[in-house]
Amino acid sequence: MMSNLKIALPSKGALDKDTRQFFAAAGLKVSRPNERQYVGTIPALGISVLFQRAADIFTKVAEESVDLGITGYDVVRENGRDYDNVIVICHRLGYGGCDLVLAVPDSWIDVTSSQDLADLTLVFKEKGRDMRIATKYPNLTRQWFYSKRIVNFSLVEAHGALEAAPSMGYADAIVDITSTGTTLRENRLKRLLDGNIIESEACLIGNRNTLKGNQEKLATTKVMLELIEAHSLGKKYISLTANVRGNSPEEIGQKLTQDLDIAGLAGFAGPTVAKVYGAEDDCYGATIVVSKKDVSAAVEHLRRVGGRDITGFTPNYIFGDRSNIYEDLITKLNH
Amino acid sequence: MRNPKVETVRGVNDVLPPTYRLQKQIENQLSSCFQSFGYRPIDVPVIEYTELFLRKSGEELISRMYDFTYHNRRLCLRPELTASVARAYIQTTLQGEPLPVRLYYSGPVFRYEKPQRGRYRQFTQMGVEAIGAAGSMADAEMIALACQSLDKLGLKDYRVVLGNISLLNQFLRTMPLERRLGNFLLSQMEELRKVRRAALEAAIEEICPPDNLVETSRLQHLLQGLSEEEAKATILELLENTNVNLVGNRQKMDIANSLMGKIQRAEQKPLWLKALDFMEQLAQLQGKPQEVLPSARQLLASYHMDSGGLGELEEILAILPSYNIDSTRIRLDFGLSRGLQYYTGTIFEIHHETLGQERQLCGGGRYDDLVKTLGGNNDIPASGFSFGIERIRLAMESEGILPVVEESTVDALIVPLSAAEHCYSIEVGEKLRSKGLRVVLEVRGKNLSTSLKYAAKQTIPFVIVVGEAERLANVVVVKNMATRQQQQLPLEEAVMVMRRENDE
Repeated sequence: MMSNLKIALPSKGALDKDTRQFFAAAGLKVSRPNERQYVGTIPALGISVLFQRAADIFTKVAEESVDLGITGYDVVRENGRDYDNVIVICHRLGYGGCDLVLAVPDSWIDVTSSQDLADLTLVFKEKGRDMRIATKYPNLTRQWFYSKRIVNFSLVEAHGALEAAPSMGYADAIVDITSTGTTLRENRLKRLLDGNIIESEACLIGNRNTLKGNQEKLATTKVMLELIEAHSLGKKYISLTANVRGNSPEEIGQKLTQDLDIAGLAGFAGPTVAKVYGAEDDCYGATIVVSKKDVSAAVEHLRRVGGRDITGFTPNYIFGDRSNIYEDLITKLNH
Repeated sequence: MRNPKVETVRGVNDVLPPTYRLQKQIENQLSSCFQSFGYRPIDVPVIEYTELFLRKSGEELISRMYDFTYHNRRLCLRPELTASVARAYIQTTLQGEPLPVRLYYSGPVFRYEKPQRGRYRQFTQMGVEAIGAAGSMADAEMIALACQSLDKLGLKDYRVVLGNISLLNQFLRTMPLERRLGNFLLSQMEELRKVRRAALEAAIEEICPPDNLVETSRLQHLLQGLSEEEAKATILELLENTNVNLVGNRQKMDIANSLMGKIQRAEQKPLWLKALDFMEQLAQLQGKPQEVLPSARQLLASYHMDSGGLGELEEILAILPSYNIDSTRIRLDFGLSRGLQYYTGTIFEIHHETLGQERQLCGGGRYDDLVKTLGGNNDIPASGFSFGIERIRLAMESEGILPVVEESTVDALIVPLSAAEHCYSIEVGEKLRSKGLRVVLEVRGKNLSTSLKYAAKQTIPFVIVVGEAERLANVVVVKNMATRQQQQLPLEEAVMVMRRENDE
């Protein structure tokens, strides 16, 4: 199967690995013949893949070089203003989580909140200089400062290791992404109490112009989104099957559903009960699909009605009656 | 394949000839009004150091500026012109002139706004500044000039909203409110009427979180009972002993001082709650002057505040009738704050009744500190206002009083019948231009019938045809497009024919 749909995926680092895992798990293995080459495919749907730095993927989508792209939500928010042709198709893909934070030197024991920072900018101002903030996110940083009504600061273009900027003396504080905070700590920096600028995850974006009205691309996109959505949903559930003794399927079905406390433990619509053809004539198999967090409660529930030999597995996909993400996409395209 | 198009940046417009002419006509009328009051034109750069606006324009405006670093200089596109004019006054020979210095300007300003009808990222401001005059006579002149300018344009459905920011300024100054918060409150006067108070309180807490002192409170506990000196010494000792590694250019003493300041900082919430109460009461005070002034006096008395600002307003109100300003147009509104931080006294806006959200045509007021803030020698009082030209055009459109722009701007099209007449046709054109006619030449080598169609489409009243016969006889054929009549005439007579038509 060949399609003319093009997607840009992160070319290196954690986001690369996690993205490929994410796609593979949904049945969309990404093939990259050579790590030094920047093209690949998703053979299952014949999608062409362009490998790019996460920071450049937004631009590739905006420039219409590709139809879809996966990058960090931080990148989208930083670049997205005034780009009406780029739409966010799915804003949380469930991996690649990190925070964009403002961090100041540990030694600033007088600064713990944005209010302290605001005061300090005025002290700096009185001494005739601006507080310098090093960042690769100038737009989000400026917006955050303005939202706190702080105007006396200047942005410093980041060269290389941002975290080192304060100790190297070319900035006073930084705005950068962090997932565990280790790098900040190692560089003797600390977050402000209210210094979280945005929470980010990997997200899927698309170009309105190249997708809208292109039935062929939309058809491929739809299959891709269906698989991603159904897999993401499937991951959250577990299917449990138990052998239960009873006189009839109806009796077992009733036992499993009568108790009102077990809402959600009897499957989406209710249990499926079928006869087990074995040595015992009164044995039935009862299957329920439940949310993973309810697994032990559901097992207990099955046991209460006599369930044994309980097997559990995670469905690879759960398809609903329609694809929500795809329908959202169509709405956004027509908006 | 066609090259991809390059379009305008979002939120800015191309102004096409008819609209451009209209706006120039409006600007010309305003200029003559300004000049009749002795104001002289000045032009200042579109690009300025960002610092100019950081000084006093207010966070609200700063966050909407086109602010960028280019070749290591922090620059911006001007978001308004008052600061630039004040800068020019300080920087140039104007400062040596006798006061007051009366100036007017016109030009584009840039603000990063959400584009919508009547609100664009580039728009035109035209206004005046009177530098070096204080008092109600000067304030009244401003308001009168603004009104008379609109009257001259024929606008009727406008209303003057008059206030005085010094009341709120005075109130906020009496308490140890953080400057950033004080500025925010100043800018929120108008919001207070639009949004629920709870929403505003939430916004303030966002800027100034109430309980960020968890860590400090522990320290505060530790230092309780110590004198300021002892406390500071303790902090320094702590810093010394904990081996805090100082980075950048802050000294231990700086940190100790700042920490002391933080511990002593008054809790802000009770202060801003009190300020909001006062602001809510101020915001109630709007309406006809004779009704609002007594309640305003009462409010100030109940807060034991100086009512000097009210006296000024009364004086202004007493002066305005001498300028033939219709007093029913004037409303007092103590909830007016104008958002810009540099105002210090009387402020006013002019609103148009039909424009809805984007109704403001004019805004201005007194800014006695600005010249000093920008590094001027002395305390120089000043005031000014500016019109939004696009808004004025919309207002005139909605009142149906836009001047009619003549359709054709050309009196004649000259058509040479062959290349041999090119030189002669140019000669004819030059002569006609020297007689004050507006003439275009057919330069694309089109034949006569195509040229006639062109003239008809462009509503050019006359077509002048020159062929070999005309060149040799030194005459022209004049075709009147309306009557379809044509005659062969010497140039002088052709001019007369066309002039006569023009005059009718």
